[in-house]
Formats: sequence, structure tokens, C-alpha cells
Amino acid sequence: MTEFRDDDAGSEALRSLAERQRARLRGPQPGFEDRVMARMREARAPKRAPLLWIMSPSAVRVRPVWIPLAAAALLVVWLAGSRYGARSGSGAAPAAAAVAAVPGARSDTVYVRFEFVAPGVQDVRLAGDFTGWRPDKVALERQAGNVWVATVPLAVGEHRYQFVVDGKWLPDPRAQAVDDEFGGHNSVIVIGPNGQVRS
Amino acid sequence: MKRLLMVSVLCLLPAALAGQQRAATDFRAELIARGVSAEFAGSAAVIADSAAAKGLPARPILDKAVEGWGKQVAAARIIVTLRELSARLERTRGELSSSGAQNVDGETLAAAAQARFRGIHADNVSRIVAVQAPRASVIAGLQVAGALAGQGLDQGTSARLVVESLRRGRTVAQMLDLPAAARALAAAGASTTQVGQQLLQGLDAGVTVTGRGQVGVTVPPVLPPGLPIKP
Repeated sequence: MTEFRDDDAGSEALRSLAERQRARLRGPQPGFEDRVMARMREARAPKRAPLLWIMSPSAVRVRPVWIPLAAAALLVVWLAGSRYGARSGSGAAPAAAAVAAVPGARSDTVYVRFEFVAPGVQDVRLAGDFTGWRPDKVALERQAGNVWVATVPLAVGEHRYQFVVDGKWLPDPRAQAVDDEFGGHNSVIVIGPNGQVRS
Repeated sequence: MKRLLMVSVLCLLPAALAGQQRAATDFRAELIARGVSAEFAGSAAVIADSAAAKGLPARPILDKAVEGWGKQVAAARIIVTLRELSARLERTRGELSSSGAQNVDGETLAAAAQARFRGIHADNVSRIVAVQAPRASVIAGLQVAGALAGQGLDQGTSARLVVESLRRGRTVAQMLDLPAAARALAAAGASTTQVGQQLLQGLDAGVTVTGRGQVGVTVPPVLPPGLPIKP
């Protein structure tokens, strides 16, 4: 409680009080906000390790519109990965992929008769890109005159093969041979839709 | 906002990594399914994956790995061959790119690399690829050029035959008959130079020289009985 007296000192006290009230009504002194903000910037927030941040429960405010967008982004990334894999050759069935046929002509199949003349052998097999280079898929049958024969359906296009004679890999002596890059030679057959073509 | 971004990255990163990882895993799984041992499949899949990451076709690398394994070639030797094949594919892509053929698809690139391996010069391979023709025809053309060169025709003549065939709108079937025609002409006594000239003259005259009925055997219209193929 302020006591008011009708003298100079009282007037002075009254003025001082009025001044304080006016200052309070004017708000903080100029530059007050800047000083506070500067202090806050100086005071660094306590650091938390990233792992702790991930592990500690915290509320994340997300606008609902982000949820379908995030889901769409996730789907796009996943599909991109799938397409990358498929483009790189993982999507095709192994058996079909093993045949280096011409695209657009894969539905065309030509029956090709393979012959190998080999006297005094016990077993002749055929292995090529059309068998996945497995010699256990096509066994040739012995016919008269030591002629071993097999007829195989092949897709139109270029194929490579070898005969496996008693376990030994040999190129077809009647066909064109190309370096197989493993120190041997593959026989090459180019098949047109009109029939067998040995090249 | 910062937190939202971090959450998004954390969510999307595993999916992206899974997509990348899946290719290598799939290559390995495919090789195993095709009869390759798990250990070798892992080594070969790394090379195929590396090629795929560079945008090169992995299919020829996988096929070569299966071929080497089927022939019981030493694993170390197969790996060397696979690396060389990958390098050849990359080199061929560079050659095609420098000649103006950008964004060549994997199958065309594989056929182009194979044609190069069989002696067709880089500029001739580029000429074949550059022809405005259906992709299947171009791939067949690259195979046929290599086959003709393998039969002894000059590589330039082989490439010219293919380019002219493509420009004249020859079908894939007609393209694939060229090696048979060349063989038939050679069997009739023509030299490799004459074979090339006659095939080119046939193209200029608008006729297709085919080898049907002259080489090979009669093709049965239906599956012959006793076909010795295991299911």
C-alpha cells in the first residue's frame, strides 16, 4: 500500500509510481526479445545418440495426406527393384531362358535331327543351350552303320551344342565350330522356320 | 518435418536395398535351379549382378556360367571367362554408343557382342544395329552375320548382306535362311567370294536365295515317336 502525502516527496512518489505503471503497460524494454532468443540459441539442446532417438518412443505428427503418398512411394521403390531384377534376367523361367532364340519367333519350333557317326562307342548324348548344357537330357539312339541319332524340337534361331561321346565333349564334325571360350569348340546351328539349317 | 523425412528414409531404405539385393539373390537361385553348385552360383551371380548394375545384360553371363559348369570346366576358368564376357559386353556397348547407337537393349547388345567375338568389325556391327528394322530382325541379323563370317565369308560382305536384307525388309525367317543358302552355294562349288556375290546379287534382284531342300534333312511335321527327351 502506498501512502500519499500532500508534499513534494509525496508528489515524487506518486510520479515514480505512475512511471512504473506506464512502463508495465508498455511491455518489455526494447531489445528484450532479441536478448532472450540469443540466450536460447547459446543454450544448446542436450544431444541424444541417433540410436537412442530411434529406440525412444516419440510421437510423430503426420498429416493424413502423407500416408497414401508414402505407401505409393514404397510401392514404386519395390516395383523398381522387381523390374531391375526381371530386366537383369531373373524373371524368366530357366528352361526357356537357356535357349538363345530370336525374340518374336520363339513360338516357332523346328524338329532337328542330329546325327553322329561313331563306331565303337557305348554312349552318345547331346548337350547344348537347349538342354541347359546338361548331357543327361538327350540321349542319341544307335542305328545301323554306327550312326547315332536324335530328333529334338528347337526354337527358331541360333543354337550351340556338342556331343558327349562316352563322357567326352566333342563338336559336331559336320557343323560350323566356334570357340567356346573354355578351350574347346561349340557347334553352331542356325535354324530358320523353313527347316534345319546347319551353318 | 525433419522427423518425417527421417522416418520416410528409414521406411524406404530397406525396400530399396531389398530390390537391389533381390537381383543378386535371384541370379544365384536361378543358377542353382539350373544345376550349378551353390558355392559357384554365388561367385557367378556376383559377376552377373555387377554387370546388371552397369546396365549390361546378365543373361549371357548366366548362360555361360551354366555352359561351363555343364562341361565340368574348372570354376576358376569359368569365372575368368565370365569376367571377359562382361568386359566384352561393356566394350561393345561403348563402341555402339560412340557410333551413335544409344540405349541399345540387352538382347541386341548381347547379339552385337557375340557378332564382335565372331569377327564382325565394330563399325559393321554398328551399321547393322543402326538399321531401322524390327528388333527381332536386327538380333537375327547380328547372329546371321556372325554365322556367315564363320562359314568363311568376308566379315564386311557378311555385314553388308545383313544390312541390305534388313533395309529391304527381309523377314527373320529369310534372314535365318541366309547361312543355309550360303552353305548350299558352297556345296555347289562356289568360293566364299562367289557365295557373297551371289547372295548380294539375289538381294539386288529382289529374290531370296534359300537353302531349303538342299541341306539338312526333311523336317517332320509332327513330333516323331520315341523322341529321346526326358520331361
